[in-house]
Amino acid sequence: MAHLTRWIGGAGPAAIIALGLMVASPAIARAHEEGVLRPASRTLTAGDSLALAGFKFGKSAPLKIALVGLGGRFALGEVRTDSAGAFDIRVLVPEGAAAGSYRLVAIASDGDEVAGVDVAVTPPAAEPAGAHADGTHGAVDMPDAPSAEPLPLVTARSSLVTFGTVAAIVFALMLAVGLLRSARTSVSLG
Amino acid sequence: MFNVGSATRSKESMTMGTEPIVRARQGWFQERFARTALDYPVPARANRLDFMLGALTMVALTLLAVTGSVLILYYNPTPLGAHDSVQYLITGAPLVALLRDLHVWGASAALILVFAHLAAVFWRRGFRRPREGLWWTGVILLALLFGLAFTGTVLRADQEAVEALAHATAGAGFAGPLAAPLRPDFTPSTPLLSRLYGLHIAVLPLALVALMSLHLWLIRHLGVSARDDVRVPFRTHLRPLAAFALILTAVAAALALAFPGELLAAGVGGYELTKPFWPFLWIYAAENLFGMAGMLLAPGVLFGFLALVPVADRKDGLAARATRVAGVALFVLMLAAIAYAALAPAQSHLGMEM
Ligand code: HEM
Repeated sequence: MAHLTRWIGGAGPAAIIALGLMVASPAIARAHEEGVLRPASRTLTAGDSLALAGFKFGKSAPLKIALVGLGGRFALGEVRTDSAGAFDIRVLVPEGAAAGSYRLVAIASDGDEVAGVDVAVTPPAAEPAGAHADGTHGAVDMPDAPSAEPLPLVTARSSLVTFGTVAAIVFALMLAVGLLRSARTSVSLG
Repeated sequence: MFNVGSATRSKESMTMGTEPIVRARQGWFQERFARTALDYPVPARANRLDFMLGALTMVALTLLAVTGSVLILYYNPTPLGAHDSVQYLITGAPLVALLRDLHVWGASAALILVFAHLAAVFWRRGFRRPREGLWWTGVILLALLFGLAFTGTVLRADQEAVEALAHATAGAGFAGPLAAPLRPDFTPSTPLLSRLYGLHIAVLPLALVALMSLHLWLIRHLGVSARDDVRVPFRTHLRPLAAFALILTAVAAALALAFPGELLAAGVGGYELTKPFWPFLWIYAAENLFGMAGMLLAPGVLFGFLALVPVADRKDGLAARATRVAGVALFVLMLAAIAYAALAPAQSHLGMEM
């Protein structure tokens, strides 16, 4: 026990300092303003050009735009933000980018990534429907404006599932009442 | 080939004949599945609902595991495919849509029950010696449940999900290398969403099962804290428990049928328009009032307090009374914060636009 107390006594402060450093270091390192990248579509076609907007970056800041994934890292261009911290450009998706999942990223002058968005690259030739590298069934566009409203979806229902569930609910409740009654009898009988 | 004799046997001789068979079968079952192991004595008071809240949390978690196992078959854990796949299973597959709604309501039930269990244990001081370890494993279980609720929200990839993720990555910036896997640029081989999916369906459930096993093992060996001289076999606990489990499942199924879960449009980064899943509303309220510091401090205060409870309240006295008052105050404050956040208009944080 004494050993343990001594060990905790020594290790405790060291652990707290180490944890403090671990917690503080990235907070200090990430002193950037983080921005938002908005490609016209999240499904990019190798060899095609892509409209790319960015906003909420530092004012008049130089940024490098890159495509990063297992297929490699491709520099797409450089841009300087305007006085509002925004930009609007067109970039060329490299023809040599293999199909797959990538991230489109913005990199600040000190090499830190300050914005990113997940995208998929598809091959230039027309491909059979449903064969996207990411398993989606069509081009995934960026919605123009965000919305907090639920989508007006009609939940799939079948009478078999609905009536089956209602019957199961009724049966479960009846069984529960029976079990509670018999539990009370058996407990009161001792 | 045909047992002609049995057809001519009288009804009476048949019923008389089955009893030894039934008894023999029970004996066979008892021997092979150690049913008598369930006959250990427990306080009769443990048969009350306030001692069943932990087990009912486990029932809700089982419901989540079962429904989640089906959702895995339909969900596409890629950033571009996730939202579409959720939309498909809501609109295109009736049974799966119902199971998804059961999953959503099951998550709320698990969180309500775990807080009810925590409150009951806190009130009866079930954390006192020798049950401190039991309490601490419970605190970690609570954190894991919050982790599961958070990763589950993010998987929908809708507006609320994108906003939740932005908060988590901002918070991860303060957690150092420990939270590096929550940063989008952690590795180019796996998108963040797929990493969170891994956490949701494998890492967190495995940790939950491991810790729950320890929690249950401790309960089995230390017993529950009910002061009751009357002892009954644990087996008698199972009947009312099964009844409450059936009621819980039936209520969750009825809610799933009557109020299907929503899905917002695919998320757009840089905006904050929505409020989080209700179990996180108290953190959202703290963020409304104190910004990023509030978002980090609120869970810190809750979990810090919970961790200190068994140390602060060891025997009756001033410290015990103070701990109880602080606990009740914290609980009421949390409920008030949830109500305030639910009613107040949505706010944006972290420099996001509305
Ligand atoms: C996944 C979540 C949890 C599950 C499945 C669970 C399960 C259980 C079960 C089955 C019991 C037996 C008696 C009863 O239900 O009261 C119990 C007791 C206990 N639990 Fe939990 N629990 C969970 C979370 C927690 C949390 C969050 C805490 C506290 C922070 C906690 C602390 C305790 C303590 C101290 C006891 C012993 C109570 C006594 O003897 O009076 N548990 N738990």
